[in-house]
Amino acid sequence: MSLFGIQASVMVHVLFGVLGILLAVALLVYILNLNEKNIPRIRSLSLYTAVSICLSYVIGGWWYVVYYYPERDIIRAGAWKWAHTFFMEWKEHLFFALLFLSILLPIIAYRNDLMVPENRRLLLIVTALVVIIGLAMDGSGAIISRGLVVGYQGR
Amino acid sequence: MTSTTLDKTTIGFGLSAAVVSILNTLLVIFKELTPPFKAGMASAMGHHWTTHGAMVIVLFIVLGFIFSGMAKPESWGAEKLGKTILWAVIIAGGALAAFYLLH
Repeated sequence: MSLFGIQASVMVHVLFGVLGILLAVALLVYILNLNEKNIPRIRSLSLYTAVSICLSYVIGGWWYVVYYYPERDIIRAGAWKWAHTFFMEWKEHLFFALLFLSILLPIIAYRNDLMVPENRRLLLIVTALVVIIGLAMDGSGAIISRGLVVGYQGR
Repeated sequence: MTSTTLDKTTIGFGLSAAVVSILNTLLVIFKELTPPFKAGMASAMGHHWTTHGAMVIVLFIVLGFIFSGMAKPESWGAEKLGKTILWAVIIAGGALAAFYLLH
């Protein structure tokens, strides 16, 4: 793949990740303002969030396995080697919890009566976790990118 | 839908998400502390992380269906399931962070 293709694919991974977070934030707002009219929108947002996070996982995972190794070596040789040894390692493994929680969203939203306060609160907890972990993934990704820049500067 | 109890699939996959999040962290710790096992994971599917992902995703799906079949809606309310998921993810994420800080 061309250099542009490699960089574009990692940006598409980031794009779907950020889109997933934004959709989850919108979902959070609708859950907090829940009424009978909002339920179809809550259900569709829960599904779009799951699809977006799953796409981010597949594209990011493929990029990580195929193209990350040369960048990893540059980061590890640089002053910010912890951008890989902590942030990338933590990110690549905690992502699985985010994946499961995002898949859980439409299961909760489509299969339960959301007008029941306890069910609403369950959906709220899982959505909030998706937002928080999603932001942590995003921040870690930014640190990893800066770690690569720091690694190049030290060459 | 007028039932106040959770449906069984929600309980099953909610519990699976909680359990597999913890198992995911334990698998990370085990593979990092056992280089031959990590090498075996790498040779199985070309990269240890690919094998790791396949293992936890299959486990999430299989346990989701098993727990769905076993679930008793009267003993797993939304409140209890929510707290279980929340604490499982906090423990899994915290333990993962602690492990990589110390490793």
